[in-house]
Amino acid sequence: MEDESPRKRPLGKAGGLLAAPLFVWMLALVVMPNLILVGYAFCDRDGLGQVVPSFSLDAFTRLADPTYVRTLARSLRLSAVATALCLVIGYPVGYFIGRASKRWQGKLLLLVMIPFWTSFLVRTYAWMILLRSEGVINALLQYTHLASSPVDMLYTEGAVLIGIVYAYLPFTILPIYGSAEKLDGALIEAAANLGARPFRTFTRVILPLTRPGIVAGALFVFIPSIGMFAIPDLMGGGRVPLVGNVIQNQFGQGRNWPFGAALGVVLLVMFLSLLAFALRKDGEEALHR
Amino acid sequence: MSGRRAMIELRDVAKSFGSVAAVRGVSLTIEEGEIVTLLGPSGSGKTTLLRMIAGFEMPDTGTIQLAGKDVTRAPPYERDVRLVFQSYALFPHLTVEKNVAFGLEMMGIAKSEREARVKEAIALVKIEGKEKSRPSELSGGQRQRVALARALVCRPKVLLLDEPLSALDAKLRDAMQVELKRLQQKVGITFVYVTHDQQSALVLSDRIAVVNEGRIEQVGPVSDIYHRPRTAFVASFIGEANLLRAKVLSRAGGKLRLALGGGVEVIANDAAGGTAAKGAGAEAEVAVAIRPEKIHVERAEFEMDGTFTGVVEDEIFRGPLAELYLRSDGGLRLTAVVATRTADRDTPSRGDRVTFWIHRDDVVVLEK
Repeated sequence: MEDESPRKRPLGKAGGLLAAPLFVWMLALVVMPNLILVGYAFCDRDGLGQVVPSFSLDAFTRLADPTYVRTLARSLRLSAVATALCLVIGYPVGYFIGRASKRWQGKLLLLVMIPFWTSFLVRTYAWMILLRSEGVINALLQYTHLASSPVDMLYTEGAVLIGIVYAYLPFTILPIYGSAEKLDGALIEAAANLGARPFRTFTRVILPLTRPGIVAGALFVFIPSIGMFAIPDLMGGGRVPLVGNVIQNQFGQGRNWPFGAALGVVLLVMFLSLLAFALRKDGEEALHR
Repeated sequence: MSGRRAMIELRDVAKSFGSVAAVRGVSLTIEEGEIVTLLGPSGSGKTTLLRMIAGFEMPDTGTIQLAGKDVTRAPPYERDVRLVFQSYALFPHLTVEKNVAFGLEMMGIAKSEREARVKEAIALVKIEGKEKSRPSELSGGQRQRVALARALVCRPKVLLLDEPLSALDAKLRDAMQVELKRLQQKVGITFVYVTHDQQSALVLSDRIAVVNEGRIEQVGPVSDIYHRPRTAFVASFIGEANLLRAKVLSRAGGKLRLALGGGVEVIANDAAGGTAAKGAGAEAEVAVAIRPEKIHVERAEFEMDGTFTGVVEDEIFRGPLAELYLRSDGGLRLTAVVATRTADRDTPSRGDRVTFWIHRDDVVVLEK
């Protein structure tokens, strides 16, 4: 149990060879582009928006502009709220599926996965149809006289939040499901046997033991939702710009690649430190499993 | 045992899972301070019985009383019962110390007392020095001790043990059996031990309840279960037995005269037979069990009242004992077990002509 974990075995020659394509892939498509991005962040641009190689901190100084600070703060806040919502909704679902009988697990997981079979854009447009002033929900509200005039739902921060939660919920459910599925039912019984009421069993046994799933599920929502630009564009109607929108704009119409890159570097540093923190804590835990 | 307080009382307890009846009407009283073993093969319902006592399953019908209080529908966390799980179920995220303290914490016991009791429990099961270790850093035997300490530290009325020795190797298992018994005498808590291993049941228990197909076949002191099995199942599940069909030749004066076939006729105590044989007149058929070591075998031929002659067809040497496969001159086959002796000439071996006899106390008439 202690020493036989296959993860701890060194790769070996054959293993190294098999893993080589992955390393090449990661190097060429993840590490290199990110290094280029960092390089761009220190460059200048000419009047036409062409990147001029140099060493300048102009792009980073511009980050201090209150507009961008506010955008970054809004992104962080929205992502944090979305992450919290995803955990609150996703934890019971993931836990329930993880504790269901094997026969049901497959079916329930399928239900979680089905939305992926439809294009992300189509699903987002579906939400727009539901939420807009002449949409299904407003029609229903007016028909039942719960509202006399259409309620503004689309193109609000709330709509963006709904969009993010909807898009990323499965990514919270799946790792929590993974943790819950591995949880030994005897531990829950042991807690009850030792006098723990259900709530204490949850806080003292279930929650700590499904923590890896919670951490992974939170990261899977928080990190991509900060950089998200499609949902704020479509469901926020440009009224709720997030960092992702600003970055996209700098590389597009704004034609200010160094500034876009500098914003990207800020996110990158944030993500990496978050990831390092999460992995360090869980690594310690994993040693004791 | 009498005069002691009933600690656990099961009355007509039954439980089905879907269409499968796991427990079919069990009544059993376990007294304070006893070690009672629920012994049976896998799927016999013994674990379901244990889980109902712990509160993890609710019986469909019947009642369960704990120290005179009805707990049939009480949730597990309200029962003064602690269970040592087969897998030990130690909390992997907590140290040994915190595992042991868990139950006390749930009981709301103050920190200072908690620490003293944890220390005491850890000393009781001899795992000092491992307080700060995680379960994953312990050996199987150490984990089992932690599981025991975690349960005992709560000073429950009843300790339930679900095959706690099955994950240990044979040597360690033997040592732990003795240690468990010593521990029980020390703490005086009622133990209910569930196992399919008849050997550890014999070593550990005051009384054994033999469980088969959701029912208790027989319950009684260890020696009764061994020497006076009531059914063929009990006779063959605990120890070895020659199971035979016998014809009642006559009954008189508390004695039955039985023909085992092959010209072998024995006397059995009428009282031994339990209910099925009662009233069975001459010519009735009864089932009989004879323990192999109760068959006396001599490597000589002589004729006396109640002795038979035959031949050793085969033998298996088992160290201190030897198994002999006998065939009487009339063709009846029996297995006997004899002590091996250093002097070769004394132990009957393959091909030897022998004389054998069975004392009437050792012929057990079965109910079915």
